[in-house]
Amino acid sequence: MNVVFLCGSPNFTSSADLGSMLLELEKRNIHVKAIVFIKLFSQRLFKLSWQKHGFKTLYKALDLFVRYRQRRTVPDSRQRDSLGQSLSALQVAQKFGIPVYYVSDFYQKRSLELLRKLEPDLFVPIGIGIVRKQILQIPRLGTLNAHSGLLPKYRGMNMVEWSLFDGHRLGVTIHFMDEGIDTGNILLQKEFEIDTGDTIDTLRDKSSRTGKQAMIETIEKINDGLLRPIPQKSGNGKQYFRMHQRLKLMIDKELRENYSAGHALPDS
Amino acid sequence: MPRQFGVLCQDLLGISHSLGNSDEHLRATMSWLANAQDANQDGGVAAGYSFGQGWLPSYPETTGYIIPTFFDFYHLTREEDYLNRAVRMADWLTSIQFADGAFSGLYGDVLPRPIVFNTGQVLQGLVCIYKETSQTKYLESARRAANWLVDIQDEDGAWRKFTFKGNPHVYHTRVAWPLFELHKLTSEETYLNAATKNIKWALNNQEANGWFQNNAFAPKDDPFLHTIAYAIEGLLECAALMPNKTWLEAAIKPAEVLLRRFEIKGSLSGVYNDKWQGMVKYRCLTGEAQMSVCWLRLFQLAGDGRYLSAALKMNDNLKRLQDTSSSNKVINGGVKGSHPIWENYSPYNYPNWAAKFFADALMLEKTGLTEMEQLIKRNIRSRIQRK
Repeated sequence: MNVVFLCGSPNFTSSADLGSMLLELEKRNIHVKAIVFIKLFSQRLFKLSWQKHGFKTLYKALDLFVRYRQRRTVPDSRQRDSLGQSLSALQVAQKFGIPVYYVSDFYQKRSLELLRKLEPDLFVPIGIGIVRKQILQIPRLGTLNAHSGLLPKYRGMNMVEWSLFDGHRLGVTIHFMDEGIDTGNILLQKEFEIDTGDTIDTLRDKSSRTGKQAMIETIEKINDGLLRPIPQKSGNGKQYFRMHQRLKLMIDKELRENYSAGHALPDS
Repeated sequence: MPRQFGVLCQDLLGISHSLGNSDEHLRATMSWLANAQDANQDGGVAAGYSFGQGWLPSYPETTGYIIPTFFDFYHLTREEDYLNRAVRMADWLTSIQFADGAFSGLYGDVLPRPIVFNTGQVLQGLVCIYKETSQTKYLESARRAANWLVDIQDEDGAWRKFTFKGNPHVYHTRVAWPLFELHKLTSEETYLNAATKNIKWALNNQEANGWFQNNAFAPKDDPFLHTIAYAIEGLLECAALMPNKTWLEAAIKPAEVLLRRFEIKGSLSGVYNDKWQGMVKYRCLTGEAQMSVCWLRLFQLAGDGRYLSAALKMNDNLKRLQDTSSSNKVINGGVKGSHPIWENYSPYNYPNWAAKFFADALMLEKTGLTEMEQLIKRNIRSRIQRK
């Protein structure tokens, strides 16, 4: 089975995350055929942004540069070699001997031709946002997504927060992407628990780790022919959006109060 | 002129104000409304402040529905001044009521004409003040207004006579609402029947995507967000009063569409077409405040936290466009009709109804957050206990 990773700029892709996924897939004898990155900067991207945003493009470019510089100094998002030196996402890919390609934009004609030539069975997008029809049509089996909520009930953003608000179980869903928002066929779901000391941020981290484990498991099971996709009904579930900060603070406060030492929970 | 020039410059340069806390903005808005009432010395609330004309004449329609806002603020703060002001508003309204029970249309009309929608909004104020004070003169005035509305209603539930621009409007659901309220007070079946017929007529005008036909000021126009929000609010309040699940779902459809539009784009257009496409780049701030009210009420009625979250963001957007630091009383606490101020909805104006709906949204926000806190407590504890 040919798996192709579609990633954002290598400067903004966590090499630690990428490295751990590649290692797990290698252990399971699953071949990653290629990794396709987006260039951090290209003339075409600049031109498109200028047409859309005008002078604000300069501000966006500066902001991107500052964030790029900050990421280079954030140690925990980077994998380290045996000497403890941090590796970039590109270096991680090269370490695994996986061919790397660069595109300015996934939806350019040349980029789509490249993706087709790779003859992928599965696309695994990492940090490239919403994936449109032109890409979804390419892989033989489909394009996977690790969604940080339990579908079909929870679609959209801030799934940890909204699940907590509703008192619902926390978990992740691996599903095939379609043209809707988190509406594609469900492949696998994994739940995780709230532990002492958890906050929204730590639960989001748990969600992210659980999502990666679930993604690996899903790819393995697809490879072994063990998964049956479950379609979602359109009426089940709502689309959620970014939760207002004041509501998030309420949730964090309640999490803290429930788990503070010696705090007795009321009888149900 | 300097005060207006400052506002124009800010809008031209896209400058917004810093985000204050909701209590500050609420107090500033209520002070502005109090100043608007003091402007004409007749007890009514000036329609607004116009750059060209200064304080406008007192406006019966909006004075009517500002009464409940003042009572809500009085209950929140126990400041008697606001209660007394609400009474003065009601007394002015009863003094200008037509012999047949109707109330006049636009403020400052040389020949005042009775208008259905305006009468309905005054009716809302009269019902409110009767509930608060138990003074029968207000109930009598309310009955007369309601009887007039019932008498001129068409058989299918629409009002076509004595309407704005001579057309039936789905936003008359906001007339059905006080009729239901009056029915609850008096048990008069005629009010119940008239209101129910109107809601049914309104629902016959709703399309599958939630859109309402006949909801603009003129038949061929696309409606302002303002009248869309009126229609939604009237429908959901009638649904809450009766209660009626079908009516509530009918109100949720357009509210949900606008929620998505808002969450994706970060703002709402001032005008929408029948495919829910924004037709203008400017914002109708009154409509935005009204949508915040609708979403907050839907959170209370349906328990859906997304509505509260969206309303908080909408309120933040509106706060950024409200000046609460100016020494100028006509600007401090006022809410513009459009943003930018020169655009098509109530241009160069601070309408009193924009301030009223913003005050309502801020007060509902307070209650909403308290309810949210309780919900979160309950839900998180039950999740932890089930572990």
